[in-house]
Amino acid sequence: MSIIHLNEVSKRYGEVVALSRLNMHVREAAITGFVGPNGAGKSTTIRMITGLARPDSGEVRVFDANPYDSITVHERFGFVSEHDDLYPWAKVRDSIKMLARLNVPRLSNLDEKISESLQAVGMAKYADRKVSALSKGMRQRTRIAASLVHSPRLLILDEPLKGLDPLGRRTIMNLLLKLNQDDKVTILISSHVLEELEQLVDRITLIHRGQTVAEGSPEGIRKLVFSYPHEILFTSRPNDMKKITSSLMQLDGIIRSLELSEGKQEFMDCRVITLQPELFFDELVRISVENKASIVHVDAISESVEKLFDYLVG
Amino acid sequence: MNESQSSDDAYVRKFGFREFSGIRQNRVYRVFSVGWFNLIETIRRSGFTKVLLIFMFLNLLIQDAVTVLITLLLPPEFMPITLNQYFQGVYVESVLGMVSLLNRIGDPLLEFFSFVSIISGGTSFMWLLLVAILGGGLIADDRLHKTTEAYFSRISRIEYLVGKLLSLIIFSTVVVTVPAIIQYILLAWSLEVDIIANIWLLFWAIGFTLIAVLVVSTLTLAISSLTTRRTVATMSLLIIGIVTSALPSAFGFLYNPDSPLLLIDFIGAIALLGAVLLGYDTIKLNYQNLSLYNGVGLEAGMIVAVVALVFVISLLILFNVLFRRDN
Repeated sequence: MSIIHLNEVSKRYGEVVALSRLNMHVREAAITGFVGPNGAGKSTTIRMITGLARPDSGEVRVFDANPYDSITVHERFGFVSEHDDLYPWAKVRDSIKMLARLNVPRLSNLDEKISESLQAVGMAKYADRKVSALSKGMRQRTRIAASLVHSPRLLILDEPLKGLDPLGRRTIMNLLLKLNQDDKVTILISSHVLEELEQLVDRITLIHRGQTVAEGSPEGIRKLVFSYPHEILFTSRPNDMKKITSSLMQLDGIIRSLELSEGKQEFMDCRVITLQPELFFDELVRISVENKASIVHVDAISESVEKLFDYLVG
Repeated sequence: MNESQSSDDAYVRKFGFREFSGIRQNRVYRVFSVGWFNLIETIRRSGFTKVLLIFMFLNLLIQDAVTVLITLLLPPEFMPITLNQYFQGVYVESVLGMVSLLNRIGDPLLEFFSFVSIISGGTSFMWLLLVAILGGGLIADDRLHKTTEAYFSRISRIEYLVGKLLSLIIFSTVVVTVPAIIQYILLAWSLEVDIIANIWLLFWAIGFTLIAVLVVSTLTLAISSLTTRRTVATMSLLIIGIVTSALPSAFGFLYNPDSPLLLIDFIGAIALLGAVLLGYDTIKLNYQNLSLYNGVGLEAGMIVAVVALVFVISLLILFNVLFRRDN
């Protein structure tokens, strides 16, 4: 059963098309990763889901209600926006308390719930500090704590791991896993880094230029990522380059194209396109060692998410 | 693994999720939470605001004390009016003075001796200054820090708007309406007039000050919503308020008190509305008589229209910023 439905959703900001007939579903009790390069439309989509923006066309349903028109649906989800949106001059506990008062249930023990949430993200000992005195990662954890106070069934996080140190990142990921596994909280989490979410999510939705380009399990998406033509550049001295390229040309099925060019100073560049980057790198090392040829620089220039998405969109 | 790391892990294990069950706090509670938090945090964040608040309350004390003292030192038997009329005149002038900035509005009852609005004029300056400082950042800060998203993902935009207005209304009520009530009691007590017989005057003061508070608060919030810099909003309100109030004097309207151009001073217009609400045909503006219903020059209808216009324009700005844009 899906908790979030987006059906043919489009949104423009002036001349800019932010979303173009986007379709998306988030299953109940699953962790769904929402991945795309900067400017792909992730935040716009999340703003639609959280009722912060209205679609120009199409339908957005959250818990079977329209989140823009129905404020009551807001008490059922927690939201961490991409912005560092706490008042810098307020204390951590006061900030959370004010936000919690807006959607906690009546007669609940608010202070106890705030303490629990702060403990959950490892911020209990900083409760009386001013927000301005916290690091970026600590502020991020405070905002996540604020979204948990009312024990939501759905948690929506827009780039929550951005700016966190490895420890803070692990704490948050552990917490999200626990919320999902023990309490069946549905989680939608966005990122522009695919690797960041692979360990955490059940499903991944890839978005680019306002459209869903792929949807599936992390394994399926990983296979997709490695099936597109990778562009790799390496640099070597002319004599060494000659030995390496002649050996590379003999490899069967690994290299789609190979192009040599003058490099800086006395070096030469070789630009290779391959569908099997991992195998190519193994072979490149083997050939280099066997021929005693040195490689001074290697760059996987198409590893960026943008290149992948451009490929997927065609 | 350091101590902090291990304690963080412990927190994660200890955290117990309890599903939401129950009814959400009602709308009034949510709106009041927004209003109260914003008021307290705005006062708390600035030492200068705290100092100004102390001056404000000292000013209110002095205003009350001086008004009572002078009325006691100038016995009404030396004036061609009754004690009750004297009380009414002094009280009306004092309350109107708390809103009128530079242009002084006198009660026609105190035809030959009008002084009280000068004493309470300090309150109008302090009030405008504090409202500008407190209110300048109420929406500007949210737009700067993108805190609007934190609000709008929890409450409706109307609740947000009313909550923000409420923070200014609570403050202004404390510094304008409450002192007006206290002054009524003090004056009635010191002049030994019948409090109950004049109770309509108290209701007028409460109603008028609340209208003034609502209009000025809405205007302040509207200016705050147009920028992301609280200082820009604060300075804009102060400059607009003081300059427009000074313009009638600067351009000689003082010698033509019946000119509609006096309404450029929109804060003074709110004070004039107070006189209109009292049903006065004639008032003293800057110590000159002005007829509100003679069909010439400045008329009561114009005063009501200007105040309503400022209020409506402020609301339109707020609705445009908060509702028309997706922010």
